[in-house]
Amino acid sequence: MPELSAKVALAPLGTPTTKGQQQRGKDNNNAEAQEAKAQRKAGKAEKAARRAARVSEQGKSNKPPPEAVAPARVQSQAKQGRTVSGAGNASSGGGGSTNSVGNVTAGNAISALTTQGTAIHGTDILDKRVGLFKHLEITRRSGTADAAKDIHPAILALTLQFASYTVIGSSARCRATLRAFQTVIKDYRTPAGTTLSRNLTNHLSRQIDFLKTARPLSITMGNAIRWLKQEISVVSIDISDDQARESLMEKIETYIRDKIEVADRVIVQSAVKQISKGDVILTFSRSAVVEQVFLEANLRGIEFSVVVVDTRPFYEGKEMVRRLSNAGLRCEYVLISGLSYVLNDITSVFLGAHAVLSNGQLYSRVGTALVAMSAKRKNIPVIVCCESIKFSNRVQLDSVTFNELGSPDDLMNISIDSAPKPGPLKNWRDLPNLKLLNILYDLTPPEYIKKIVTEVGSLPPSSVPVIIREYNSA
Amino acid sequence: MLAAGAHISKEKDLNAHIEAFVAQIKRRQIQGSYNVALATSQLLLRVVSAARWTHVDQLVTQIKVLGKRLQSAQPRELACGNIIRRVLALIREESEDTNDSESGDGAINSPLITSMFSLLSTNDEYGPNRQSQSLCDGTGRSIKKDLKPYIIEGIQELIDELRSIDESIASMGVEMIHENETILTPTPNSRTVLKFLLRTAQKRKFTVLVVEVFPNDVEKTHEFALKLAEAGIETTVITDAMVYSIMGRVGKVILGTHAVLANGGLLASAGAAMICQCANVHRTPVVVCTGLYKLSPMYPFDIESLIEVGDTGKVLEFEDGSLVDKVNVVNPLYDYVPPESVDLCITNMGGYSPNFMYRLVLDHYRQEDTTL
Repeated sequence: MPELSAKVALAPLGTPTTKGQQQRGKDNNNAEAQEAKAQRKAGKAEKAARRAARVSEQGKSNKPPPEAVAPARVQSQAKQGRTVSGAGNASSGGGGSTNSVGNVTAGNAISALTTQGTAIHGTDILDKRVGLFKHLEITRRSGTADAAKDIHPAILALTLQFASYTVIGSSARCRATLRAFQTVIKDYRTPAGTTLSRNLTNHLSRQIDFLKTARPLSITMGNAIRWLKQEISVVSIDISDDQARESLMEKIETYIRDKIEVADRVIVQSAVKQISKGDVILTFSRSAVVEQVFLEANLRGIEFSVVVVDTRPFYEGKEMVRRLSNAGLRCEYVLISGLSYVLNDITSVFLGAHAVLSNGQLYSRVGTALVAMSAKRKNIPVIVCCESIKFSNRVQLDSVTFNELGSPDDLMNISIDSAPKPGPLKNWRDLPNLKLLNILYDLTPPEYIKKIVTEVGSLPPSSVPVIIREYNSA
Repeated sequence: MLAAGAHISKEKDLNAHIEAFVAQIKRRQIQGSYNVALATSQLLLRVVSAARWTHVDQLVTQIKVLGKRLQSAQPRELACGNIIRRVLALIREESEDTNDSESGDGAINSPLITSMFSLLSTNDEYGPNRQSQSLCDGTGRSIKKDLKPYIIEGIQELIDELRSIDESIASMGVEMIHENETILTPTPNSRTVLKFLLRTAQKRKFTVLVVEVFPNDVEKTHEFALKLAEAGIETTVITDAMVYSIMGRVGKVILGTHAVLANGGLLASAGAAMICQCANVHRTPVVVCTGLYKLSPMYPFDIESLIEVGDTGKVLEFEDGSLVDKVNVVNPLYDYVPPESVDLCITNMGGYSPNFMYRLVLDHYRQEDTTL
């Protein structure tokens, strides 16, 4: 069973079955109906929405194998898969629960430092927290030794991947979670005296609670989980458990395809039109969708160049710039401190999102707000590429009230590559007055954003609640 | 004969010294505008005391030539040129003073000319006039003899001023920071800011957010945070990217600078422009702590030429060859901060609005020295 869990991340996406297609068809019809409503409300987004609908229909009829959609991503999963299988093996050796994290974190030096730090100073962290952010918890876990028996190995492995930032990015995390849930559901057996629709939700909740001990759930994960629980609750008690499981797994498959993969393709088709010859486009950190947009524009033969702005401590932009330059794109790489130096030649800014909140605020990797602000100041349009699964009902006004804390030890490490190099602050915990703050997200006000490109069309940030309402009412 | 030989060897000595100094600033062995300013003024002290001149104009030319040489050795280290200009202004002032006192009728005439006429005339017109006048005087020998000790004394005073600059700036801290305030500093490699904060901490209790301007000088940055924390100041280190999210809670942004330009704009460490802009967006006051030696009479007509670009190996490790080959990596060391982003400049002469800096330029430098 543990091996199963390890392989799931690797497994290629299955081909759709007839049931899946029907489901998808229904979804698309819904989407079209929603779009029709949205068009009336968000007049600006009208054309783009129609285009989006057309493209999504094309996607449906052509039915290209999902593997072809994002080969790069499958590769990355394979890479992640390797680390997972390490954990999986360890857990099989340890009889169900993983005791050693070594295998998982060895590849990621920074996180090794992190986990070590938290492991040693578990209680210290409380005292070393920055006053303003005391309400946020650092939940980073370093092992799975304390896991309850009913936590599925796939969840254990995923938890470690989250904790070590091996799986990072809200779409990637959402996908990985849903895949893990597929395995959980596959291996789930309803105990005697209860029904699947009642018990599976509880079972999943326990898995989710464990997953939360690595990092707080992403908005996408929250949305997906809400959807899945709804689906489970409406499973008819008349059908057999096998059938129910089968249907749920299929639904998850469809959900991933519709909400992430097809959505990404639609966004790419729409956003690529914003790129023209001679453009110099700036992007911040790494977003999977934005990366696909650039690669697609490159495939279409548009001559443009990309400036990737990056930040400590994750250096996600490095991966972005690697992939783009491997595809033959002209790239420039700069850390955020050099932003104003590179900004003069920029024609537009493309950003990814962790979430877009109901009041139009963009919740994304910390630093995004600075980039958007600087661009706005220079009258450079800021375009956000974002699947509608990232839309959240929540409202928030500043980055302090809700955020995620990373390990402060990431800041002490001053290396720019994978080998950790503790700087002068290595004994920072000994100084009572010294604190290191490592928050992961910030909030970009809607006035900095020109438009948000989603799979249901392009819209201004103020129209986000429109889309959310249409989806919820559907 | 013997005296001449001694003089030649002395001159050789001085030349070797200048040579060494030029090499040092070329190789960035003297770093930081304070160190450069101090070293320059000390060099000038030696040059002036060794120099022989029959007329003060010769000395001015000599120093101008030296200044040109130093400036071309490190064109982006403006402090060097600033000190030269200060000394030139000093020499001119001393020579004018002696001229005025010596030629009695000149002393009577000059107020008549200067009263209204100087208000309207530009210095360029005024300068050559005065030069020709002093050339006509022809009593060079006596002037020279009187001048030298005064000039040396002036340079000595300048050096003393440089040494006490941080103290006089730091003493203004209590006027800037109130109890329990949160201060953010985006230039943690500045010793002026460090002293400012340390001194103020004796009278006030406040929190400092230290922005590490990664990747340059990150060790210094972290040591800066250590020093503050050791002095009992609540210190929090944040990355550059976090500035926007926390700016709403910041009371004041206090920064040091590499140079202040005549329009009140700054050349500060990379990232400062973005952070000051962020402070402007949040209506957070931006305060610059700077010694007057950083004040340059230049205007930022060509910003790009002022900004120095540093080691890209600090951004992307060279071991990652496949990536380094394909990607263009940039690591600017400085940022140009426009004057409208800055609310206040605290100098050793007191606090001024950045709009007023041009006036200080006129006070301390002569217009004829703007281009060396």
